[in-house]
Amino acid sequence: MISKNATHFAFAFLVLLTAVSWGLNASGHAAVSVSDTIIIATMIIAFFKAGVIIAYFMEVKDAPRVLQLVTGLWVVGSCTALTCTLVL
Amino acid sequence: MTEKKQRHIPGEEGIWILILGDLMVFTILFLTFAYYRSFSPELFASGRAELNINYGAVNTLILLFSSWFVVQGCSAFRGGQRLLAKRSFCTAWLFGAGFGLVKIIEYREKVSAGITALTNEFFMYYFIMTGIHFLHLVVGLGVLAWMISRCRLHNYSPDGISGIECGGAYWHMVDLLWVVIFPLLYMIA
Repeated sequence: MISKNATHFAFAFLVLLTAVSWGLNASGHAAVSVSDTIIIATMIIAFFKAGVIIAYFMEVKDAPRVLQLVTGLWVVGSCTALTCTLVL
Repeated sequence: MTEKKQRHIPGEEGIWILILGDLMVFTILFLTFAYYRSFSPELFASGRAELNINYGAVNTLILLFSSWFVVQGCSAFRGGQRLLAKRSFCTAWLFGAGFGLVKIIEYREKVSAGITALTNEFFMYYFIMTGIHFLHLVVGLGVLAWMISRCRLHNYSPDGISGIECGGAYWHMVDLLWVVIFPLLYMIA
């Protein structure tokens, strides 16, 4: 079982990441174009958050290796495919 | 002495097949959105500018809090703390309902401004993606209500943790899908 401290830390980290990306994007929300760097950074942060939710909230961190592998592949594969489609 | 770490599937295998299938369907939807965005970036950018990022961000925080209470509830259920589990699941349900309320307010604003799924391609994807996610949320609220009912005295058994874990995993999936939908529609479209 994942320790309570680890889930508290994961939760605080997710809230912090959301607040920071909200603050950064709120100021430039009306901008017509978004640079590729911002797209890449935003997608990496989003899928990193998804990974933290899978590992700590869905308890995949303590799950069998095969489930860790499949969910990990989804995070990395989807992030890569989506970022490439958006940027290229 | 080395002790082998004990690993177990949260919930049951079936729920993970459902979750992974759902994630794949949403991934195809995300990729389709990104692909068609490349043909008309100005249209998608103007659509994004019409969305209120504050609604999206507040809803992200609401779902994170809701997920966190589900984690606390599952932990309490395992530990035999029936009342604490019930309170945690009830609070998670209220946060989930709050997400639905904010989403309805946002939909209402859009429709009263004359914006629907037929307005343009961006809003077609906006309503499809958020609409399918909203349906998942409604199902999730039903699942949370079932989890609350499992905490009642005559229903409660710590052995029933597998069903509770399945419900929790489903609710976290609703959260993690929104974590990707939010930046995709509100930040970079």
